[in-house]
Amino acid sequence: MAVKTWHLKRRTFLRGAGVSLALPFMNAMASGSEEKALKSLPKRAAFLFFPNGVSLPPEKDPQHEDWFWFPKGQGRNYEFRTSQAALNPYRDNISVISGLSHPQNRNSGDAHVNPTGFMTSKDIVKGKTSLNSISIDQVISDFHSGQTQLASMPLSTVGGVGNLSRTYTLSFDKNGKGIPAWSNLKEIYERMYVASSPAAKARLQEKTHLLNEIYRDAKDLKRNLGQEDQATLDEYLASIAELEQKIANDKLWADKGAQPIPPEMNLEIEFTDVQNYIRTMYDLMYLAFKADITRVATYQIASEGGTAPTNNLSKHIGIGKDLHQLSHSAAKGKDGFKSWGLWDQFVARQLAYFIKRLEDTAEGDGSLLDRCLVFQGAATSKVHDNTNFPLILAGGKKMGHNAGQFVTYDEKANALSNLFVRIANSMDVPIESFGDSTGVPMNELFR
Amino acid sequence: MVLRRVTNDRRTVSQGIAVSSCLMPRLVVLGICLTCLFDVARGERQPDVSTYQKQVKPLLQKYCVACHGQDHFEAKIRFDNIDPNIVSGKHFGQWEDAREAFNSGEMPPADEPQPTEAERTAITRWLDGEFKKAKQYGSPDKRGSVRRLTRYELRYALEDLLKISVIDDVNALPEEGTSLETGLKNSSRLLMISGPHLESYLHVVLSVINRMKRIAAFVPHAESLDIENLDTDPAVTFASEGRKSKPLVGKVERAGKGVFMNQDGYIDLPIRSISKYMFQTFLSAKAEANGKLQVAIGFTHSEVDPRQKTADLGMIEIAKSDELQTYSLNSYPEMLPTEMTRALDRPFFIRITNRSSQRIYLEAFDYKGNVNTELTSTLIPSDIAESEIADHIRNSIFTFVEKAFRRSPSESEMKRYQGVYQTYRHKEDAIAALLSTYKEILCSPSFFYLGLSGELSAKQKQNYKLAERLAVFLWCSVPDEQLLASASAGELTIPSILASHVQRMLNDEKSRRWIETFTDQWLQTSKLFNVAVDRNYYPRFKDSLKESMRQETVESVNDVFRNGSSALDLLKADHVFVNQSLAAFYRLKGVRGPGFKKVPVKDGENRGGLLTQATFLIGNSDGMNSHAILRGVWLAEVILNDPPPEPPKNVPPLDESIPGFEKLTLNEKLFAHRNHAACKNCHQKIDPWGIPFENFDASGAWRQKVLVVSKAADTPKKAKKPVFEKDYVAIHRQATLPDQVTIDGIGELKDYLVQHRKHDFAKGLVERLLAYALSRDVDYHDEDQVQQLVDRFEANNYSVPMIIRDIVQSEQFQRGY
Repeated sequence: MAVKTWHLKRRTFLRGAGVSLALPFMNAMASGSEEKALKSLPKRAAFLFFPNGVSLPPEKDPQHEDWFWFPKGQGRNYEFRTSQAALNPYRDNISVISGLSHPQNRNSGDAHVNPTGFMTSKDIVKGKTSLNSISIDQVISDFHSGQTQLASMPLSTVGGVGNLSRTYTLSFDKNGKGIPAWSNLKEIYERMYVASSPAAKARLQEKTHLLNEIYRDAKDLKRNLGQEDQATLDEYLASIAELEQKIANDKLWADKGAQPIPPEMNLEIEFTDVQNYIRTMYDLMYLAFKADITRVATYQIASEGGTAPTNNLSKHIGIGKDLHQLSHSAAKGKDGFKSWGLWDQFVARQLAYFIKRLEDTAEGDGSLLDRCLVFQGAATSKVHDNTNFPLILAGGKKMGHNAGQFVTYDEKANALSNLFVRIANSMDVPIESFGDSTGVPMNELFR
Repeated sequence: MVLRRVTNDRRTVSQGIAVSSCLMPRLVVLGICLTCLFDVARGERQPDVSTYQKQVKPLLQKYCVACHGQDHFEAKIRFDNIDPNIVSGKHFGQWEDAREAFNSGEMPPADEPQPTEAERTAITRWLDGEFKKAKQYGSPDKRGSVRRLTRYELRYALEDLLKISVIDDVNALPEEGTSLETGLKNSSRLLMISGPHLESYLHVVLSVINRMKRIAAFVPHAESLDIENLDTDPAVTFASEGRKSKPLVGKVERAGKGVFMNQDGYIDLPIRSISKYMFQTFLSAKAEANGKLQVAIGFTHSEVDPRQKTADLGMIEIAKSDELQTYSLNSYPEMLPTEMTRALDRPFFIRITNRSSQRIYLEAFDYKGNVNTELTSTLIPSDIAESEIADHIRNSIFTFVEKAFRRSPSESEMKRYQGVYQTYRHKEDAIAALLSTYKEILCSPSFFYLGLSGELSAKQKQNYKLAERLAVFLWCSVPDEQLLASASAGELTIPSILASHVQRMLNDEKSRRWIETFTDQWLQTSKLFNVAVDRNYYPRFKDSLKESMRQETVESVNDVFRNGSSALDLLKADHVFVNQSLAAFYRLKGVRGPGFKKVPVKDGENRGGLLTQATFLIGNSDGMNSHAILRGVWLAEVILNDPPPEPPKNVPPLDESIPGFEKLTLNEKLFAHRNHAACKNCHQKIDPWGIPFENFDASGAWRQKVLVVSKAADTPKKAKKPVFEKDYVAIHRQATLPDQVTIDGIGELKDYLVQHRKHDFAKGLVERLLAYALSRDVDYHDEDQVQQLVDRFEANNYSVPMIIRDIVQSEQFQRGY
């Protein structure tokens, strides 16, 4: 079975991971200035998403005590309930946030459309909106582009972009077009260690060759066209240029020499092997952050609604209902909220795994987690309710995150975009507004 | 754009149009005589701004600006700063909406001051004159004829070119946007491209070609069962322990060189692994009467774990015969469940089981895996002589480019791609090098973009581009040899030849792709899959029915679009298309098997036509309750071609303080809710269309009473959870339509639509078809063409195949935009 081989491989993999180093830091240390060395350490941000909201049994329901997603208590005195208990060891590194959502994004008519605007705050109306706007991860990634081999890592379990009413990606470019997300573990790995193998170098070469050919063709074809059609081909030429730039960047990194050593790991995992798949996704993000292959990553654990192939993830881990059914039938039947809570618990355990990996890895004057912000949330609180997103912000203590508290916001006076602005700021991106942000500073979360 | 028609006051509309079209010529003539004799043409083209300033603007100020001005601009129309140049100005769309509202009498609203008859005439006269000029001289929206292929077109084109399934590959590509006007996905304006998108596309091509190279390199492997030495009485092994009896005993008997298989007897042939490509089962058998053998593939979990897992591959009919006959069955790994293809290292077997009461004599049982000859022979047949290979390669490249680029390759292109082949041939074998050449061809913009014509002459261009448009329209793919042959001979511009191709293409199974995509886009069938039907309410419903429900819709459209049944069958029909499971759900008797059949229905069975298909009854509900508003909106939008305006933002929540709120049906709650003055106007035009559907619940089944689930009023205090009670209330299905006709139930609604609204339906369908054929929204400049097409559609008994022929002959389709 896949599980066994995966565990066997993990040991070798962990050894491999120990070898790759954050080189700039080592160089700076060697030159003698610790302060300078610390400053040279990269900052990273990961944005994680799961669909359909969380189990929120009403207070009088006996399931409330254990399976209500939000913690008990307030401020610094908070305690996770059963479903989030896996996060308890990292309490000091975590802020739990309630009362935030995207005010503009409430007119969708179908709350399952909301994930499309989750990272953009754009008003998505099913069947009416034809383009999204830029997502916050891409704002950050554009600012840092060129500093790492991959400008960002858009990941999702389904992969591709889906459509505007059922997105399979969290990332949208500056024109609001969905950025196809990567789902194939092997492919992600190859992209990360793109320049290391001769095969990968050959692929870069092949792409360059193909781009040269099609660029020439497009130029030729454009000549005899009318104005409107020329514009169509101009867009094509622009996309060739964009891709060439990316490949040039890949090559640059290939030629830099000091490549992170690709660890040996099992990548033959289908998403139906849910836990191993998600953890391998987290492993890849962890490796990319650690070796400074990218500064920004997004990961859509599953996509929203009842139609995506990931809707069955819960069934694959032994819960009787699919994700969409879990959310819709929670209030019916005796154990509805508990069943849903079991999925919440599963999601929390995977997050705990990711946080642990980051925390266990020393870097500079602390751990990798200190310079890595992990944002996790859903675009509804519970099914079809697009307010009060269940949000977690972990890590990033040395990026200004005032962690270790349960913060409740007034839904009417706040917007999630305000938090996005601060996350971008903590990544050194000097923006003052984003999407429908209102300028509320959120100083309780960021110093 | 969809030409909206306001529904109450239909008579005024048609009269208004009739009057103005009579007056027009005279007015224009008068204008010419009196004003600019010397500059006739120019004067006629110029917008008449002075009349606007002198006569029209003051009236707009008086009657309209209060609501459509700086402060309000309702319906997004502002008259205080509107551009009076309708002919070439920037506010054509606003003027179009305004004119419709004004002509229909919808505006100014009845409770506001109304213009006098003279004032009304002044406005109408000026508007009509300007619109006529706009139609003749205004430039249509700037249009191009070049667009990229959509995702589904790429899929079918690659599959037709490479003869391999690529559905999983193309799913990684972004899905296209949907036109807000038509719901269609092939609109040129929306088909954009970006760097990551281009990269994904290159990945698709690279991975498909690499997969084909891997397949081409497979060495087929064969297994055969030694039947002569088959042990028909095996000892009990660990693997067979625990079963009721030893499987073979008594069911398979030795008979000379072969064996007899009795009913349910089975024989396993061990195979090494699951084939990565096509695999074949061969049998040599005979029987005294017809019998059948089921072929399955399976594995035993392990030597110590006797559980077995099998997957059906198909049935082989053994015909009555005295002589041994050879039978074979082709199968593909794609047909197998993933647990089978992923279980790589199990002891696999092919199993044949006698599924008839007739005993069957078997003398040979063979298997061949990784059979790639189907693929390799389409590339380079193995029996080709060495001396002919160069010619074969040249011809292959020529045909491939001709199909992929939808035009004949130029000399320089042939030279170039032959050069590409040579370059690769140094590194790879001939098949791989040919595939590498195909890869470069498929990466070219000449494949990716429609409407490009390279170095063709004008005549060639017209022919080849027609072939391209036809193939993309009716097959969602590239043209075939016959179309290209006609194009190459310059015959496609001959109407009779074009028409015969259309008929041939509609007969071809490839046109089902168009039926499916167009049906989904036009009728919004995807909604069906977005609604989760609550099985607590509807225990008879199963999710697996949804696929059949969509299929029903596709089949009924197919019957009209390809078989030529009247399009009015979609409004009302005396038949349905169902399979056994859907028929059972609809409570129709006597339908057997998974295949879809055309089955007659009686009036009392309440089915027939689109309206009563579960696809739309479920898709326009919330999974628990029927939803008259959603159903009404769908009917207005899709069937009547009259989309209601968008709902206002910030709709207040349902008012739970209404007495007896809990006991109301969802529709009653919604109707109570929309009694706000702001909502009422619009909803009077929507809700009546949805109410006659009330006999259908949210699962699409027929009902006599409405189930209402509410919290019990007298919940015992000890109860930990709220107690719900079920109640059945009477159905309200009577509605007064916007034109004051009263309708009771679905049967009357269908009759009404067929009698009074078939024109709107026909026009909507023709507009959508034209929009799809042209890959763009239909707008004001196409109005005359649409009118002609609709007339012909009505004259030809609403035959879609005939209207397709007319569309293909239309000026717009012929010029390509």
